[in-house]
Amino acid sequence: MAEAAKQEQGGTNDKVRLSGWIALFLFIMVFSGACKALGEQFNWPWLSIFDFNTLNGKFGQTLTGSGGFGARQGFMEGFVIFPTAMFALGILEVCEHYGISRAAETVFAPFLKIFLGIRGVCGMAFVASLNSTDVGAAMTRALSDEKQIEDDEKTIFVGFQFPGSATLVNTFGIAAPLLPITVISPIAIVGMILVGKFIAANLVRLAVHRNNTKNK
Amino acid sequence: MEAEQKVPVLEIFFRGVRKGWNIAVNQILPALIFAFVLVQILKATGMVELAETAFTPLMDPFKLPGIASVVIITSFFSRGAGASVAANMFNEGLLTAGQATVLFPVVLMIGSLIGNYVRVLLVAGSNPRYTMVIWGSCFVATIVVMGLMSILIL
Repeated sequence: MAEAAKQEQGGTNDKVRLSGWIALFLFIMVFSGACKALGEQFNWPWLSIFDFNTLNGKFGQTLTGSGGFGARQGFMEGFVIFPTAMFALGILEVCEHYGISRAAETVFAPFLKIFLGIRGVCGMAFVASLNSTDVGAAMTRALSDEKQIEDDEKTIFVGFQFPGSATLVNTFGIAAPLLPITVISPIAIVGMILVGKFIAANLVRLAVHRNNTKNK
Repeated sequence: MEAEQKVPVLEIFFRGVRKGWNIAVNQILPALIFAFVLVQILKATGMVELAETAFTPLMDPFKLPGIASVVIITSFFSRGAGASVAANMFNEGLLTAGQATVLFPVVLMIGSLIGNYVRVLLVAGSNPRYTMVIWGSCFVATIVVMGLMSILIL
C-alpha cells in the first residue's frame, strides 16, 4: 500500500495541465447546481445541461410503488439509486483522468499551511484522502517514513482525515440515498464536511501545541 | 500516464459507471435492505416512540426529532446504513427534507469511525498519545457541523 502511495506521489512534480483546471471548474459547476441557478437567473435554459440533477433526470413514474416496507422495499429503494451512483462516479472518473486531483492539489496546498499548519507536500495526500481513506492514510505514512513531515504534522493531518473520510466518493456514492432528498447542493454538503474536518484537525493542532508548550 | 491518456473518454466514463455499479450493489443495496428492516423492527416494537421520547432533549437544540438519534448511532457503525436509515425515515415521514439534509454531513462525519480507526490512525501510524484527542475532536467537530447545518437549513 505504501508503494502505491509512493508511486502516486511521484506525480507531485507534474505541472497542472489545462485539462485539469477545466475538469476542476466543470466538476464544481456540475455538482454545485450553479449552472442551473445561473440558467434560471439569466433565462439560459441550455446551461442546465451542466447540472448534475438535470442530467441525472427522473423516473417516469414511482418505480418503488407505495405502501411497501421491509427488505423488499429496501431493495426497490436501492435499485432506484443505482443510476445516481453510477452517473456521479462516471463523472468523477472522467474528471480524475483529466487531472482534477493535480489541479485541486495546487489549489489546496497553500491552505494546508495556513489552516492546518502542515507542509504543502501533504497536498497530494490531502486530495487523495478525499477520494480514498486507504490511499490518503498510506500516503501520510509514506510522507512520515520519508521524514517529509514531522510526527506532530502527521498527527494533525490524521485528525483531518479521520472524520468524513473519502468525502467525495462517500457523498456521491455511499450516501447517494440522501442526494435526491437534500435541499442544498451536494457541493455545499462537501463544503460543510470539509469545514468539520478542518475544525477537528485544528482541535488536534491545539492539543499538540499545548502539549509541546507544556513539555518545553 | 501517457498510455492512460489514449484511453477514449467514453471508456473512462464507463469505468467510473462500473465503479458506481459496484458501490451500489456491494454497499448501497445491502445498507438499504438493512435500513428498511431496522426501521420496520423499530416501528413494530414501538422503539420509534421510545427513541423519540428518550433522545428528544438531545436532538432538540438542533431542531431534530429524537428519532434522528437512530441515524447518528447507525452511522457510527456504518455510514451507508446511516444514510439509508435517514433516507427511509424521510420516506416514512419521520424526518423532513430539511432535517435529512442537516443529517447528511453528520452521517459522513462520524460514519464508520470504528473502521476508520484502523484504516486511518493505525495505517498512518499516528502518535497513540493523541488517539483520544483525535476521537474527541471528531465528535466536537460533528456537533459543530450539526449546529451550523441546523442554523443554516432549519
